[in-house]
Amino acid sequence: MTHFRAFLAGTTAIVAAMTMNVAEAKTPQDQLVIGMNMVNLTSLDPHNVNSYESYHVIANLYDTLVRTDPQTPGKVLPMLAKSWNVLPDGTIEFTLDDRATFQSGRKITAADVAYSLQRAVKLGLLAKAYYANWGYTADNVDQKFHAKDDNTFVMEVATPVAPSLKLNALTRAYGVVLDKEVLAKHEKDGDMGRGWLASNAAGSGPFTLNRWNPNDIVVLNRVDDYWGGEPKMKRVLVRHLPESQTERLQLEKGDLDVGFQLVSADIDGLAKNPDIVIDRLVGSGFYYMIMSTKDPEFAKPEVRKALRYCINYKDINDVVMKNYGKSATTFIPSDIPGYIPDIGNQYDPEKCKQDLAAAGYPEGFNKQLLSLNSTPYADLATAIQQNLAVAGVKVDIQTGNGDQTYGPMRDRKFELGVGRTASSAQTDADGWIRTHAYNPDNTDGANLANLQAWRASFQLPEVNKLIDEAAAITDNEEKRVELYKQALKLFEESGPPVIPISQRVDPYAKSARLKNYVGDIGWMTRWDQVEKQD
Amino acid sequence: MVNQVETVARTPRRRSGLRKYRRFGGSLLSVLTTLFLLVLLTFVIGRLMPVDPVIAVVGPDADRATYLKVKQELGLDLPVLQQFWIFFKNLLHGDFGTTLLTGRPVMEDIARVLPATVELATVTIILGAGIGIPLGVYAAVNRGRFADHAVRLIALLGHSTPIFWIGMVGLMLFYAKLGWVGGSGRIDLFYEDIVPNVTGFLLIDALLAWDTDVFWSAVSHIILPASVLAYASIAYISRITRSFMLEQLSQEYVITARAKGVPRNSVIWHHAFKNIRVQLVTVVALSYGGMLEGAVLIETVFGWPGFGQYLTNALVIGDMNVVVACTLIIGCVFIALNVISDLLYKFFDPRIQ
Repeated sequence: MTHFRAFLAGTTAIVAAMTMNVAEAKTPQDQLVIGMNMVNLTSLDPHNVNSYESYHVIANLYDTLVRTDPQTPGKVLPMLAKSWNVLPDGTIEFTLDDRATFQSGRKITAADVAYSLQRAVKLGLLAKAYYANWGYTADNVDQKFHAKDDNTFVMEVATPVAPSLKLNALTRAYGVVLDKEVLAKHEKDGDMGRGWLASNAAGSGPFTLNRWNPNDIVVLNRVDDYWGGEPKMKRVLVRHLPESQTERLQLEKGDLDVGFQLVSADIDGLAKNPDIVIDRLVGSGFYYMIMSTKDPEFAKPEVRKALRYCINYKDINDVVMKNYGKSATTFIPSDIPGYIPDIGNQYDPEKCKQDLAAAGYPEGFNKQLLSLNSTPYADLATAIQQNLAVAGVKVDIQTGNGDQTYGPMRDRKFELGVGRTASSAQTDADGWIRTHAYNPDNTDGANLANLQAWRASFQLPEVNKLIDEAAAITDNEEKRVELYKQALKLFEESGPPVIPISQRVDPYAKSARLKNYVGDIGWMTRWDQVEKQD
Repeated sequence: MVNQVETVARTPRRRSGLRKYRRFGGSLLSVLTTLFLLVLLTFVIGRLMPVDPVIAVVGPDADRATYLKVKQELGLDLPVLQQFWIFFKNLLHGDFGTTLLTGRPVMEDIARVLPATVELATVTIILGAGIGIPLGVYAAVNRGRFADHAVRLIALLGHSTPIFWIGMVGLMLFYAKLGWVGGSGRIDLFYEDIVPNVTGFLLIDALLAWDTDVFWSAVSHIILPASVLAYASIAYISRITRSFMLEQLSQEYVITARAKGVPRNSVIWHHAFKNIRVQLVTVVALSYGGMLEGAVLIETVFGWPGFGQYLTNALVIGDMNVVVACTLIIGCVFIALNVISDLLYKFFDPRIQ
């Protein structure tokens, strides 16, 4: 056994030697280290992204024509465009900042802006639907988006839409400006550089893309001569951390500066740590319950109205949705013009029972509810199941992945579901009410899966008309907001098939050492002004 | 006469040579058939699963036109067998295609994630076999005594405790509390991109660049996940070694050797242990191969950008190009491990030659 003892002693010595050399790690002063679950970071092409994670990276590789003030949502500030002018017909003329250059060193011209926005529509990918709302199609963008001269970009009107809606939209990923010449070099078979841009960048932002390994790491390097002023951080490193608890340990240890997508328990734990600050980005979209009006019971407005009283919104928001959502009562949030107080959700289980009985269902009925199998959806589904049981409605929960849950909703073949509308922030009533109440074509073949009312097979022509009218008003904000209010009221009175439960909140934890880290509700958080205290 | 003698002498040799080629050809054919069926089954089952990769690409809120456009671009609107045929033709040209999700070449991704897992598995197996085998021998030699019970208890715990839980507790204790090891990932983030990527194995690349800071950072990051995985390996290897050794120790040649006065250690290591080496090679090789796709939980807990996580993510969204490529690689690794085992058999056991 001498050999064995010698072996054990040797092994112990090696392990001890290895661990002794480990220094206490803190993130360096000039590097920003971020942890996030990267499974939704699938492309870096700004015209083909839809996730919170992709937006954050793109916001730092590119600049947009205009940007929102992170402190005052809805307020539009200059970026590549130093000023803009709205003509009487709604056309917007943007004057570019002379100093603005791409990372390639070339000056940004109006032709680059026109090319970028044309590409967003012509590629026919995710950005296209965004511009289609305002009548821009592959056939008309070459005329509607054009350069007046090197420094003036013109955005003509396709269908009458309030200019403020377009300006807000241009602050998001689908409004970034791409380097036309760099893309031309990488174009293959007329793909407008799509194959290349999915994992490269051609922008004018404060950071360049050094490396992106999917589900592993993103490394951004500072552009020393960034036209908007040298970024404070030399590098930004984003690491894939799929396990929230590991992320929490790294934050507590000082190995991470910012952590996204932490689960509720870890956020609560970190909130007690004086070295960590928890920020909450109140985002766009709701966690909702949706009823298909193709279902014979849910087709009756009195049933939909009755069930809305069954849900204990306060408890759900305080317990289940804590850290994930903020209480919502109706389809336009309280901080957006168009909001109507004292309308929408109310909890009254007795009334729920009575109204359901009056509607002809004193014993309730059985329904199947679709939910994602992840937090907080599954918990939300369980809470709704318990709430509806009070009125005798027996809910069978079917959990699954995104396809199994949203697939039947997209095909309009479901009874009941919970989900979340997942667009980036809307600072105007239009986006909020359109997503949930608008349905211009209620046929299965219309395939308007991005509209919740269509998914629920529900259509109110008066509501559609009011929304269309409001969006077309270009010169009277008060009247526009008033029309949205009317649409909201009508929709609420009809017994809507979609019930908003919580407004989406994206919490993140950051080190107290960080200065100037301001999260953007449009997910376009910039990292160039971030500094660290000693 | 001389020629006749030569002819007589050569015929059996030529026949045995032919037989060898035939045997080799047969083996090769059976390996290729296995791999083909593996690819076909994985592909078809994957395509029949109720998972739609297009949703993963475009998101749940995309409009129908975008959805259909992307589906067509990815070739997912074609019949399954036609999709397989296209995939297979490309495969024969050495092209595994691109991942559906990111559009990047699958081989490029695999070249990045495989070394990470191989590095982890290698350190693990060095620890696992290096500790597990002596422990098993020690337990067998001390059968029924305290040491034996202790080793069996360690093995039982290693088998029955969820590995991700051990990983998490390990992180809390050795990383968060004691600060002895690095946290998640292969290296402290700020050391990223400092040493050139030559082999893909960070420990080796750091040594090649002679950067001790990077090397120690990599060691501090690999030691905990490797130890956690090794614990499960030790549990398995020590238990098997113990039973192999017990069988040998009860053989007559051992009793004879002891009766003749051969020293105890010599009997254990030079007589009994020598005879179990061949079987142990198989056990260790299978344990090593299993770690390629089996380390996924530890890769998730430790944020290790490895092969297991890569394959699992692809499975979840139904990215069959990736799944089939990974399945093929795992199949090939097992075949390679079998070949290596065979070679080691011959080395350890002259009778096989």
